[in-house]
Amino acid sequence: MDSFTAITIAVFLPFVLAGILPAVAKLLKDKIGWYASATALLSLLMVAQVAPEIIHGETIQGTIEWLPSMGINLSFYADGLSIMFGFIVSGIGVIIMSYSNGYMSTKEDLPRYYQQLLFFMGSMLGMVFSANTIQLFIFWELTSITSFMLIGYWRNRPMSVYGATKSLLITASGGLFMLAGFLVLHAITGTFDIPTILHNESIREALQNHHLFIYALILIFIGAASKSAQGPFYIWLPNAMEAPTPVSAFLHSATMVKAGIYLIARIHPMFSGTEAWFILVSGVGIFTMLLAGFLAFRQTDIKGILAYSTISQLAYLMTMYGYTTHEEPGIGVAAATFHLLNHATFKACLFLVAGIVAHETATRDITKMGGLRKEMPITFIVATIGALSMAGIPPLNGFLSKEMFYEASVEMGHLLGGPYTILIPALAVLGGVFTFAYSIKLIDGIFLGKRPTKGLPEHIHDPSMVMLAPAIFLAGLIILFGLVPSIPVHNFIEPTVSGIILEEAHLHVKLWHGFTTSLMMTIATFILGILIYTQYDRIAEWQNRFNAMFPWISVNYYYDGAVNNAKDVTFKFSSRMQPGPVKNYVIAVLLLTLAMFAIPAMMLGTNLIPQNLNFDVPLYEALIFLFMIVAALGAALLPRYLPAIIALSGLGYLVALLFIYLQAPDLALTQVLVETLSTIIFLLALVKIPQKFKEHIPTTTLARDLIISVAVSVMIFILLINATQGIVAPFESLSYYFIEKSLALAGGHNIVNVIIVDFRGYDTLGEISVLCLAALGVYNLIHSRGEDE
Amino acid sequence: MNLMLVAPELTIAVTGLAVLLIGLFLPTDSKKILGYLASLGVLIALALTVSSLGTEALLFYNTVSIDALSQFFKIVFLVVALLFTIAGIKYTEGNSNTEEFFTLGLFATIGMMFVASANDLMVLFVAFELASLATYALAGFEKKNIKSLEAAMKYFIIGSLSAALMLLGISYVYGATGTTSIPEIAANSATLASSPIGIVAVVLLLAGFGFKIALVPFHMWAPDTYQGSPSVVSALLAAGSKKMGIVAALKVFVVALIALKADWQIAFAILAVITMTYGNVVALKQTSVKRMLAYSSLAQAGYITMAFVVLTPIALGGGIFYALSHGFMKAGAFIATAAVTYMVLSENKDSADPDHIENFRGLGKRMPITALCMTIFVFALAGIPLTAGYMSKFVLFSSTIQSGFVWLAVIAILNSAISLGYYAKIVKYMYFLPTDSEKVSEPFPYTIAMIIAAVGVLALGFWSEPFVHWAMEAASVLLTGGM
Repeated sequence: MDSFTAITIAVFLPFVLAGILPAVAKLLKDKIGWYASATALLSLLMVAQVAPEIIHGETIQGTIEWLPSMGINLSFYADGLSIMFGFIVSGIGVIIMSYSNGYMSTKEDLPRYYQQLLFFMGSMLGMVFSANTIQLFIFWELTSITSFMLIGYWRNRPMSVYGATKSLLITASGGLFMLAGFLVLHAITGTFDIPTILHNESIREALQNHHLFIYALILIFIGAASKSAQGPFYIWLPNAMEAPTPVSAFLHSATMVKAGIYLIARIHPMFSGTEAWFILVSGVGIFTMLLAGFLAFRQTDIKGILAYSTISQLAYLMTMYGYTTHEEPGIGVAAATFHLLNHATFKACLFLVAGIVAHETATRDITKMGGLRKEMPITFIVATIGALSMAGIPPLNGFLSKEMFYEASVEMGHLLGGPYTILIPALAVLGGVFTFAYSIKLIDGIFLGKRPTKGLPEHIHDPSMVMLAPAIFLAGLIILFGLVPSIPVHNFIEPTVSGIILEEAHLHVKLWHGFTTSLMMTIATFILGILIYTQYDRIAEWQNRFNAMFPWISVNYYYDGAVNNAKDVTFKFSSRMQPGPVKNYVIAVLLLTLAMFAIPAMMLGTNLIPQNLNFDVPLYEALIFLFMIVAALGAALLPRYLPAIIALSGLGYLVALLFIYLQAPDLALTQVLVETLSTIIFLLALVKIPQKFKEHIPTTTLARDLIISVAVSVMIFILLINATQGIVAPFESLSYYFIEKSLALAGGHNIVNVIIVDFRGYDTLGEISVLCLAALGVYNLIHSRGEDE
Repeated sequence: MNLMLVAPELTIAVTGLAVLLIGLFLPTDSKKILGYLASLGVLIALALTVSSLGTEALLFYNTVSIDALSQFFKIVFLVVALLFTIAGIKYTEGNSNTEEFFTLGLFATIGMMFVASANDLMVLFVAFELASLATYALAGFEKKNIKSLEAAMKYFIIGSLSAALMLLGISYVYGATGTTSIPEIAANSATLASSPIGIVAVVLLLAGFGFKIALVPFHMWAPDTYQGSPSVVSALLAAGSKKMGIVAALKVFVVALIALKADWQIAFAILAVITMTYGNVVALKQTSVKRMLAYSSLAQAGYITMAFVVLTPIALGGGIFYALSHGFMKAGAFIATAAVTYMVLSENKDSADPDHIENFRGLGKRMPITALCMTIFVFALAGIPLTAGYMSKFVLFSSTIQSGFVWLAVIAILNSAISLGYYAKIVKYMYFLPTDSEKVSEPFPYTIAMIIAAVGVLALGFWSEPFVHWAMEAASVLLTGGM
C-alpha cells in the first residue's frame, strides 16, 4: 500500500466504520467499545506505516479531484508535523476508547457515544493531513460539530447543553474567521494549496510584504485562538468539562484544543519572522498563560483545575511558537513541539485519573477529598507521575520541555534587548510557578492529607485494569520520554521541527546539561512554587471575593449578557421596526423611493421639469380636470361610504368623458361599463359593512400621512411630466407605424379595430382563452358553493 | 420555431389546466389524485428541461431566450415546484379547494420560468405578475385563518405598489432607449447612462425588485407573509418566488443596465449589508420557526445580493449557485416545519402557534426523519461544510475577497457567525431538550419531499463540481450581454 492510500484510509476508515457502528452494536451489545478501539487502532497502524518515510525526511502528497473549477481538491499532505499529530490523535484515541469500556455505564447510549468519538477522530485526522486550506477548514468545523455533540452528550443536564452551545458558538464562529483568513491568503498567494506556499520562497516573501498580510494573520489567528481557548475565547473550555471525562481527556486536552496550535505551527513558515506574529501569538499566549494559571487556584472541581491548566499549557505552546525574529524565525519551535507531545501524555494521564477518582468516589469536588493514597495506591502513583511531569520535576518529560521553554525565553528576551531581557524570562517563570502550585494541589488535595470523615463512599479502591491500564501506559511514556528523550526527539520532534523551520534540524536534548541559566530558573520555579503553595487557599479565597465584587471583570459576564440580552435587544428592535399595520410598510417603501429619487432630482435641479410645456388645454377640458380633482378629494375626504363611493364613480365617469373628448368612444364605453359594474359591486358590499368610518386618526399621524402623500404625488407628477415632455425620445413613436400601415396592410380605417383583430390577432386569441379560463373559474366557484351548502 | 423548446412551460400549463378541470368533477375525498398528477407534470417538465440543457435559441420574435441561464433557473423553479406539489399532497388532504391550490402553484411556476427566459422587459413584467398574482392568492389559501388572510393582504398591497414602481421604471428605460428588448437596451443605453434620468430608472426598478427579493427596507411584508401563509406556500415564496426576483434583477441590471453599473453597484452593496445584518440579528429572538426562517431568508438574500456588487464571472456564478442551493435548503426547511405543524395540529386542533419552537422540543425522538432533515437544512443554511450552503458561501465569499471587497466578505462572514446562534437553537431544541411526548408517525408525502431536498442539499455539497460549472456557464450568459 502506498503512503497516500494509507493516509486516506486512516482518515476515512473511522467515518466508514462509525457509519455502520449502530448495526454492529446490535451484534456486540455492551462490547461495542472494543470495536471502536479496534477502529482507532487500525488508523494508528495506517499512520505508523507512513512514519518511517517521514522520519527519513520525506513528505507525502496526493490528490483526488473534487472541485477543480475552484481549485479545490481532496488532497492530503504528510510531513513531520502532521504525522506527530496523527500519532497523538489515533494513539490517544485507542487509549480513550479502551478506557471508556470501563468508564461508561452500559445503561448509556453507547452506540451514539462511540460513533461520535469515531467521527471526531476521523475529522481530526482529516484536519491534520489536509493539504489545502479549504479542506482543513471543513474538517476543522467537523471537529467543532462533533465536539458540540459530545459535550452535550448528557442531554438532560442543562449545564451540558449550555456548555455544548457555548463551545459551538465560539469555536465554529472562530472557524469562520479562519476561513475568511484563508480566503484572504488565497487572494494574496493565488492558491489554496498549503505545500505550494510552504515550499515556494518567493510566494512567502510576497505574502509578508503584501498589504493584506496583517488581515490574513489576524483572521487566521482568531480561528486558532478560539479553538485553542486562548485570550478571551478561553471561556468555552471550562464549561466543556460537562462532557464525559474520557471525552474531555481526548478532545479538550489532548487533541481538539490543540488544533489551534497545529494551525499556528502549520502557518508558522508563512507568517513568522514578523513583529506582528510575535506580538499577536506570544502576546496573547503569555497573557493567557498567566491568567489561566492563576485562575486555576479558584477551582474546586478536579476537571475545572485541569481545564484551566490546559488553557494555560496551550498558552505556553502559543508563546513558544510566537517567539520569532526576522533573523531567527523559529526560536521556540523545538521547545513548543516537544512540550506539545509531552502535554498530550501527562494531561491525558491526569484526565484519566480524574475520571477514575470521580468514578470511584462519585464526586469531583477536591475539597471533599483527601488521603486516598492508601485506598488507591496504583492510581496515586500514576497521578503523581502525571502531576510531577506537569510541574516540571526531573527526570520526567515535562521537565525537559519546560527547560527548553525557559531557554527559548531567555534567548528571545536577549534578542529583543532592553527590559525584555529580564521581563520575558521572568514571565515564563511566573507561569511555571502557577503550574507548579496547582499540580501539587491535585496530588495533595486528592491523595495526601487526611481522609474526610463524611461525603465519601466507605469502600474506595483502585478500578479494574480496563481503566487503569491506559493510565499506566501513559505514565510509562512520561518516564520513558524523560529518561530516553532521544526516542521522541529523533522520531517526532526533529522531523516536525524541520517541517516548520524548513531546514534540517538536529536537537540535543539531555536530562543533565550542566548548570545553565534555565536550570537556575527551574530551581527558582520550585522555590517560588512551594512558597505560593503555602498561600494557595488564601489566594483562591481572595479570587472568589474579588470576582463577587467585580462580576464584570469576567469574560463570561459578557458572553452570558450577549447571548441572553441579544434576545431582548432584537425583540425591542424588531417590535419597533416591524409594526404590523400594512400602512407603515407602504410608508417605508415610499420613503426610501423618495430618498433615492432625491439623488437624480438634486443633480438635475430645475432641468427635471421641462421649460416649455407643449400642452394645449382648451377650457372645457380644464373644467373636466377640475371636476376630477374635486371628485377625487371627495372620495378621500367624505365621512361616509356612500357619498365617497358616489364621488369615486363620478371620477370614473369623468375619465370616460375625457376619452370621448379624445376621440376614443370605444374606450369610453368600456370605461363606463366597468365603472358602472364596480359601483354596483361596491354598493352590494356596502350593505355588509358599517356605514361610518369609526377610526379616529390623531392629527400628527394625519399630518405625516398628508406630507408623505403630497411628496409622493409631487414625485410622480414630476416624473410623468419629465417622461412625456422632458425626454426627447431617440426614436419615432409606435403610433405613426399604425397610422401609416393600418389601411395599407389590413384595409381598415379604425386603427384600434385593426390592431386588435389583425396586428395582434394572436394576443386577442389569448385574451379570449383567458376569458374562457375566467368563466371556468366562475363556474368552479359556483359549483363549490353548491357543495358547501 | 421549435415548440419543443417551450415544452416544459407547456407541460406545466397543460397540467395546471387539467388539474383545474378534473378537480371540478371529483368529490373531495378523491382529490388526492390531483397532487400526484401535478407532481407528475412537474417531473416531466423537469426532465424536459434537463434534457434541453446546452440548447440555445431565441423564440417568439426574440422575446424569449433559451440559454444556460434560463435553463438553470428553470431547474431551480421546477425543483421547488416539485417539492411544493409533493408536500402539497399531504397539505391539501381533505380540502375541497385542492385543485385551486395546485393550479395556482403551477401557474406561479410558469410565471417564474418565463421570467427566467425573458429576453424582453414586457415578457419579464407579465411573467413576473403572473407569478405574483398566483402567489398572492396562495398566501391566503386558508380562507378561515386570519393570519393567512393578513399575510395575503400585506403581500398583495406591497406587491402592487412595487409592481407600479417597477412598471414606471420600465417605461423610463423604454423612453430613453426606444426598445424593451433586453440586449438592445444594453446596446442603446448611452442616453440613460449619460443622464441622471438613468438613476431615476434604477431607483424605480430597484424598488420593484427589492420587494420580491425582500431586501431591507422593502422586506417588511416577508416575515408576516412567510409566517402567516401555509408552510408549503412559504416554501414556494421563499425558495421560488424570491429567486424569480433575483433572476429578473440579474437580467435587468447586469445585462440591460450594465452601463449604469456605477449607480446600482453601490446601492446593492448598501442593501446587501443592511439586509443580511438585519435579517440575522432579528432572527436570533424569534420563537416562531417560520418567522425565523423568514428572517434567515432575508439574510440569505443579502448574501446573494453580494454578487451584484462584485460582478465577476465567479461571483455571479456563485450567486446563481447559491440560488439553487437556497431553493433546496429553504424549501426543505419550510416543508419540515409543515410536517411539524401538521403533527401539532393533529394532536391539538386549536393550537395557536403550531410552528412555535417549543413544538420542536425532542423532535429527534418524536420524528427522527423530520428532525434529521431539518438538521441538514439548518446546518446548510448556516454554511456548515459538506452541504450546499457551505459550497455556495465559499464560492461567493472567496470571489468577493478575490476582487478586493475584503470588508464586504468579512461582514458576510461575521453574519454567518451570528446566524449560527439561531440555527444551533433549532438543533438544540430538536436533539438536546427532553420531551415527554411520544414518537409519532411521520406524514408520508412530507417525508418524501424532505428527503428529496436533503439529498439535493448533500449532493450539491459533496459533488458540487458539475453544478458550479453550470452556474458559471449561466453567469457567462449574463456577462456576454445575452446577445
